[in-house]
Amino acid sequence: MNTFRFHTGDIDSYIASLGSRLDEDPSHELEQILKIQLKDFQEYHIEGHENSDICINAQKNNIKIHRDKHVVTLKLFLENFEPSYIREAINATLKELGTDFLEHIIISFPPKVKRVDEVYLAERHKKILKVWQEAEKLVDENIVMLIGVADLSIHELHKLIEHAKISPSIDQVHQYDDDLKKFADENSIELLFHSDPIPFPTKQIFKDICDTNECLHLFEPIFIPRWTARYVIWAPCRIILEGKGYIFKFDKVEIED
Amino acid sequence: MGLLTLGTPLTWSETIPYIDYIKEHGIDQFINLYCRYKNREDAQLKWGDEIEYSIVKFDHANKKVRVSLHSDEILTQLDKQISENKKNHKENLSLWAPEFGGYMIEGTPGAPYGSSLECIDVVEKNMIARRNEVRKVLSNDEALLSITFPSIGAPDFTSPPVKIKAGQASESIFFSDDAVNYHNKRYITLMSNVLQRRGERLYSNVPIFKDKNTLSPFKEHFSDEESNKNSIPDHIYVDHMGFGVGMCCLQVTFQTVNVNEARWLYDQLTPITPIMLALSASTPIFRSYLADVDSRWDVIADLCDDRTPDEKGEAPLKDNHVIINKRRYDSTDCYIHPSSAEFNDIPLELDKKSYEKLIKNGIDEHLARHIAHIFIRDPLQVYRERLEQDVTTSMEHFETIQSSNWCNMRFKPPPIESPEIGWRVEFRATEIQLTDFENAAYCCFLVLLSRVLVSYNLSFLIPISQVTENIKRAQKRDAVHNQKFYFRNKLTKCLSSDENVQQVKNGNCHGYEIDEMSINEIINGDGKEFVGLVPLIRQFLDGANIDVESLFKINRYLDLIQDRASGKIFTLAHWMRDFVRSHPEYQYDSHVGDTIVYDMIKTMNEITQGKKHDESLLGKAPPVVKPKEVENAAKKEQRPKLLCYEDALNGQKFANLEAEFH
Repeated sequence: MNTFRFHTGDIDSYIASLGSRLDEDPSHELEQILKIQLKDFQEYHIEGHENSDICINAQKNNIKIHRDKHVVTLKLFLENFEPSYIREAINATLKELGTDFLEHIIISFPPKVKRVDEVYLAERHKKILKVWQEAEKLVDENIVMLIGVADLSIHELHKLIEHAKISPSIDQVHQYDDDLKKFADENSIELLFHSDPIPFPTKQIFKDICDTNECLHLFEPIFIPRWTARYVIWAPCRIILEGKGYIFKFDKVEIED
Repeated sequence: MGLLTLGTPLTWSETIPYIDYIKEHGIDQFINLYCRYKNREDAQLKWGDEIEYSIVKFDHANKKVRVSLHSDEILTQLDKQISENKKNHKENLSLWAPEFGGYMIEGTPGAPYGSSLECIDVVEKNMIARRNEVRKVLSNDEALLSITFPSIGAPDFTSPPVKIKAGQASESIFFSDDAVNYHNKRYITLMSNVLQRRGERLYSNVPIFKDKNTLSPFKEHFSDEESNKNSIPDHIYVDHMGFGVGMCCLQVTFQTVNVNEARWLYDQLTPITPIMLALSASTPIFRSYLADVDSRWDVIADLCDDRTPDEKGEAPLKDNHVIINKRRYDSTDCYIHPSSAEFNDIPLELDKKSYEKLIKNGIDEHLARHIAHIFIRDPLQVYRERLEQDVTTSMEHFETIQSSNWCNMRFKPPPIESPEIGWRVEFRATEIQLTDFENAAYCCFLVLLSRVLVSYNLSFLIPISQVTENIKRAQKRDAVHNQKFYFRNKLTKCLSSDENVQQVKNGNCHGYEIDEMSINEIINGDGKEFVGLVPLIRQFLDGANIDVESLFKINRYLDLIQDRASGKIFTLAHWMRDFVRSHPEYQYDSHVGDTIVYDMIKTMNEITQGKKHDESLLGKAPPVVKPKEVENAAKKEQRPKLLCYEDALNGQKFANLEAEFH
């Protein structure tokens, strides 16, 4: 097996087990839930054939999406600037949720390094644009309705709007900034809030779990996460959260002894 | 549309021959309604608030403030504007109704609030706009306050003054019947009918706050024997229905997706009612005396109690009466969803005929018990012209009994005359707050909590007897800090409200523990297993894709709730008691003199208008909505922005559709 996905299923079913560890930081919540789910590794539903489109589901999938009532938002945390991840993640989500389009996707790019210069920023913009263009294709194909970004600065947003075919409708941020709000209003970008750590610590979470779990001790150095997709199914007419879950993509890597 | 105000209300003796007829037809009406709408689904969340206000009149020269008995004139003017708007196809921002006191009015939004979190500040904006509408028709020395006036029943408490006439129906020695709303006869008739049925005076004894110089024992001496007999030492004696229903409160009604969710949410919000009561406490003064309680609840309950002495167990039973343990204004006695049955641990008095008819017509036993229980109460407001009703088009006989069971929660079927309105639940326990910011905060907390309960299928159910006990504790002085309440000490899931009844019977909520927890632990978490209701709401909002501005506003509301629970800021009750006790004219004898009342009401008015900001009550941060913002929006005719709703209901009053007067 060279590659597989892991789907947590609806994690809101675990909310009661989290007790006071329920936290505003979603990655803490995720870690607690994965610890519960991965405690007994044998009991999973593995779908897909050997070496092709394998998905490990932590729970029996009982999510039902009613297109007239529900809105699905996906936030995609990318480990690398790999444009193919976009379509891969969206397709995986559509498959797991049993639907053929999503309302919103928000792309969270790999974070900047600490020390940046003009050359680095220009390179970064190029990479952002390439990934973004894949997302634009999904809009053209009516697979996604609105596309957005997370944690881009005014400068990065400006450059993206300049060169993109479809402007981002959303910028999801961690902190409020008056200047950013002004820029967003001028460019019809909705400024939304998130409390995710940057970067989203998928790698670290899985490493910690594998280090402490007998069944999984070999897992971590062999497989690494490529992207993390968090979907939220919302019934806006009633302000009801219908479901929330994570899908992770892992690839096998070569290990040097 | 409230219950039609036209008509001749029957006196109690005129009502007696029709009691069985009305109950029978009321049950028929419910059965008909239930069968018609049991499969009804409403996709949209709609909800609304009801705020009761007091109109006061300042006498600045004499440093005195009184209640202003002008509500019927003010309502006439407000109604004129409402009709004007309707004629010109303009939406009405607010709708107004009379209330028991001739100095009270009740306001609701012109149309229900919708399901948009982005519009969450519309609630506050609408409330501010409501006040502005009334201010336009008040005189310069009048003010509109969402408070319980502390000097009700004290000497010379009304403007204009009204005499206590000898032989008045209430026989009150403090409150003139002429201070009751003249707007229509129903209030006086209601009170007379309660008194006639009961067979004796209405009264309540409120524990007095014993201060340094308070007489001990505190005992007033009255000129009539019965008042002396009914009043207890160390208590404040009040003796008119107006002392109770002349007090203001905040009510919130939610529309649910179907009858099953309505029953489930009614149950799930029931254990929350005493928590909200303690957290919103705002009634520490009665008849100008500091009380040892912070809430209106038991006082109103006593003053609406139509039970005869034998029904209370004080005399041998007669006239086919049974012992009735609670007053008709009281906390509920049963849960109504099948999955909650195991928590019904109070023996329930049932109207047998009603119960049998409901069961025979296919209503399940849990709902049948609830309806049959509320039907033990006799109708108190019946109109001669509408004794005969078509059960397929009228719900009036059902509503007259339903709406005179005044409880902490109410289960409301779709009104037969408004097909766009579905099954609803009403949360009735919250005490009124001084400012619109606070009223909006408490409403938003409740809406969000209800969303969290439904989204995560959480259950906080405890035996209903413990809810009854919690309601008692919630009223005590500073209960928010000093009392502990029965509550589940960790999050537990319940089966979804959509589950099959049979499954639910077998596998309902287990794995829970009930502890006695403080309000701070319940709202903010106990640092052990229980995360706290506000952190739970914040976690829920994290997945909601809210824009930063709206989230900021919601957080301000949640911060207020958290700070009230932790004691960082005061409840209005605590604030008022502190104000009195630090006033230079206070003699430490529990008596709140006229000047103190004047200064306090004046300060409260300034705070309401945003002219003063009191951090001990409201916290440090500036208000979410600036009153100027609303004034300007109204001026610029941006009225639609002050009402966030999907489809106009043409001025239909959503939350207050029946003749409830509280």
